[in-house]
Amino acid sequence: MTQGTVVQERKKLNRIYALVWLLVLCACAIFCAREVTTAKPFHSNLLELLPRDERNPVLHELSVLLASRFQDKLLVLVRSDDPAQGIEQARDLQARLLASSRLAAVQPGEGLQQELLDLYRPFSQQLLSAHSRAQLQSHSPAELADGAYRELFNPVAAPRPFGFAEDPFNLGGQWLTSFVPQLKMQEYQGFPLVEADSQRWLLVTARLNDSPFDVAVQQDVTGAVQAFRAHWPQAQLLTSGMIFHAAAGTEQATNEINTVGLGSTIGIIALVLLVFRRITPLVAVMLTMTSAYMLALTVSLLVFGRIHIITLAFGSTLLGVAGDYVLHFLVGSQREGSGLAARHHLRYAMAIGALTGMGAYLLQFATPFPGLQQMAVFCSAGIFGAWMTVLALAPYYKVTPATQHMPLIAAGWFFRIGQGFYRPFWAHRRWVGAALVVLLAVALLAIVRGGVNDAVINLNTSPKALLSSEQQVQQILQQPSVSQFFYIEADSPEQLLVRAQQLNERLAGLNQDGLRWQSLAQYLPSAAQQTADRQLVADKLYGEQGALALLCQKLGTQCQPPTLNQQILTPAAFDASALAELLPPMQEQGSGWRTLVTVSGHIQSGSLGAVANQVEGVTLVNQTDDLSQLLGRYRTSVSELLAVTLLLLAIGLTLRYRHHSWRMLVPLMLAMTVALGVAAVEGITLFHVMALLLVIGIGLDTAVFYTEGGFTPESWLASSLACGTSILAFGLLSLSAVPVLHQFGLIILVGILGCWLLTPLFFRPAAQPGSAPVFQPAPPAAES
Amino acid sequence: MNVRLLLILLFGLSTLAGGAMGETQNDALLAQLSARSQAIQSLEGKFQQQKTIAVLPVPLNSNGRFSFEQGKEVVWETLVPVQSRLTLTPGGISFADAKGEQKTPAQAQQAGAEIVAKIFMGVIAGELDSLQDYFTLSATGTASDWQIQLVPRSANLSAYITRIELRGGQYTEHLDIAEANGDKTYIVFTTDKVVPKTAAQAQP
Repeated sequence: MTQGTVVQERKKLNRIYALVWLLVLCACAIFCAREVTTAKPFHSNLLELLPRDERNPVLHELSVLLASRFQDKLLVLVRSDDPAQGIEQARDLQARLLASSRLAAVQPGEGLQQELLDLYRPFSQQLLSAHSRAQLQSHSPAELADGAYRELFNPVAAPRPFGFAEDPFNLGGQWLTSFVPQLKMQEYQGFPLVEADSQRWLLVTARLNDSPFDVAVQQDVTGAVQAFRAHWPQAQLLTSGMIFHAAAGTEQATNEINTVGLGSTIGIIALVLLVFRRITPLVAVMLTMTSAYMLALTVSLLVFGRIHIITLAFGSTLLGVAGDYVLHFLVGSQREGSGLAARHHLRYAMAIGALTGMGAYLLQFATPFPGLQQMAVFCSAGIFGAWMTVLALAPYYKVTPATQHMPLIAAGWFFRIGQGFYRPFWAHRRWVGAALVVLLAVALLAIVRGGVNDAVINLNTSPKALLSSEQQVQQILQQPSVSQFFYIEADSPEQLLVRAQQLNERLAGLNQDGLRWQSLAQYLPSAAQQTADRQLVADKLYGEQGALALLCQKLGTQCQPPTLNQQILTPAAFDASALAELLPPMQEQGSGWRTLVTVSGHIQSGSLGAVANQVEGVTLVNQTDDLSQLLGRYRTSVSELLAVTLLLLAIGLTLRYRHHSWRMLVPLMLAMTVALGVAAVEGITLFHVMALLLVIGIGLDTAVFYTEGGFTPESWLASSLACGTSILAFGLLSLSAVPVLHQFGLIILVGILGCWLLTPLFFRPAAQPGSAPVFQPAPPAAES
Repeated sequence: MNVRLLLILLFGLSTLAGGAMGETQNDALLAQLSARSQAIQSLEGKFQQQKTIAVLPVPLNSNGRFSFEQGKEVVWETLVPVQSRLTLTPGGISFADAKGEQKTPAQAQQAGAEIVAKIFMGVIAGELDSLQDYFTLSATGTASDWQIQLVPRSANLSAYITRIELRGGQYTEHLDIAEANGDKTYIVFTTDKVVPKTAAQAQP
């Protein structure tokens, strides 16, 4: 084979490769466009970002079910100290909300009351409220007869759903009214009017026909609420419901994507134009970034189906990282004189860079946080896309002799600034060493003082005002807490109900004002309880000298006791009723049964925990604490991972660079420590530690550049460009109001800034700048 | 508590979308009667109550006194055959038995009773507007011989109350309540003393 045919073969291969790449990109573009328009794959469900509770899947399932009831509706309280005035606002708000086809009115269950009566009617003489049971136990038949007699003349007695013949002592009425919450709530012109802390609120509700994470529903709801606020600027609203948090999350993330995406794009364009002063490199940069983003989106959609908006926001920083490859390539092309030569020259460097970068991101894939897994896949695919694009485009990137030297002029000019900056430092090595030791000490002190922070609030994406509004609504309406509840396990439904009943009694025994709870056992007593209550009723009320005989004497008439049902209201019958879906669920799992008891109002974890310990099979679940502990555990394991990575890195570098390896490790470690010290002000979180893994990947590139080439115009320019674009992207991310993004951004910003500025301190150039690798002994900063 | 369940349990609640005040010509009569009861400052009198309970052959008779002060309270005092005194104020209800002992119903029961009390207060005080929240009102007759039918707006309230009827001339004279369980209550009022609002009170 001649030289010519080899070149021809190469060209053909290049063309085929470029064509394949183009086809893949087009396919990606079509796929993304179709997915985005039809499947609406973007969502803002925070729960899907959190790890599953690996210790108890059933508990996880139940708590998701609990949370889902919070998801499909929205509650708005309209301040109405004068209901006549508030009602207009409430009506207007409801009309605006219901104007959307994605929202429906909450039916308070027309006819459901009747269904409730039908369910309980056959068992009315064996279902006793705690109050009526206590009455029956503590009073004589004569006293009970007297009370019932008086009650007949009481104009505001509890309603008598079942009539005298079936239920002479109105046990059914008492049973049903015992469910009525202790809320000061009444109806006002079709709206519930709630009174709390001498403030009055009208409740406007709506049910979502779609998921609250659907952007279209979010737009309808926020649009309606905004229009309402514009129309009633003086109105005071409190909102509750996942939809408001989801909408806030979407808005937040959209802003982040716009800021980070736009900011880093403009910055990169400016940098590229400044250095290369031509359009072609800019086109190459933009093309690489677009392809990287497109491939990242496609792969993520294929792997996950749905993508969280925060992933997209974090993914925007990919623009900066993807830019690195093409920048290295462009600088190389200028030097080598052609894209093809640069590709050949850089092939190993790029492969190693891309693979380690992808590796750093994929380490996050090993964590059980679905959110981080998404970011990992998104960014790895993006880096792969950028790498492949550079390889595909390289043969078509031409450098004309006229333009070849321009960036080198820029590099020379920039190099002089760098030299001027570092010369005094290089000259005073001891002082620099001492200063770095002080810096290290300060950073370590900050880390020790700052401590760790595993608060769940780190996962939050909602603004403070929204959270406080949510809390107020929960408090006013006594909504069950989603984060704290009792979890009951038993071998059979009967045992489950018995335990739930025991828990009820203990909770009642606490006598805590403002504590409320909702348990299945309040609506469905155990078979044992029903049998015992039926016996109590038979003895006290319907015996020969029972209360009924005495009552009928007073009434001057003969009367027959009602026939007692020999059946029991069973869980199966109860489960079939419409009431069951409104109550805490009861689930069979393997050989056991599980249920939840929700609590609301004023919750004191300490006393609830003590109560849980008193009843077998009952645990108090504190999701916030559990999640916080989980975050802490992952923080520890990721820290260990980080330590192992650094150790392996040190071994690897020592094997390759021998005694010069400390020169690469020291600035990196120093930069990481400083970054952690800065972050420690708000307490070190899991996400800070994870971000450090990324700093290793990006920061090491810088050191490798200098070690291989010394402090030269090219290495200083390439390192500054690569670090500059990342600093820009992550710097903007560090301004994010979303804690996770802010924490990632801050660590990477400070880390890379540190690597960029500190590394040259350790590479004092030889007498002639730009000459071969310079391994001059520099001040042993960390060791001095 | 689950919101939907809450709405169901507050059995008085209905889903009426917008009050849908009656649109017929009896609006005029209702407005006239409403204005008339609004013009009363206070009122007191006697009542006779007969309650028939579905299975009992004999009706339960009782009587007593009632009084009403505009915007302040309604007192319903049963004298025969048992003594009890019920006081309804906008702030709540209190109930005292023969010995004068305050009986505070269990808190949960109170919530249910409050709605019953609100309806009761609306009937006695002629607060037709607040009754509109729960019932569809239709009036027939003239201002000197009228009757008003109250039909529950919601299926949930119909599970308890079938119909309420008010009849009267100058003042309310009859109140009939038909419950879903078949029980019926007939009350006859005799108004003794009426204090109309002074000009100053009428125009607050």
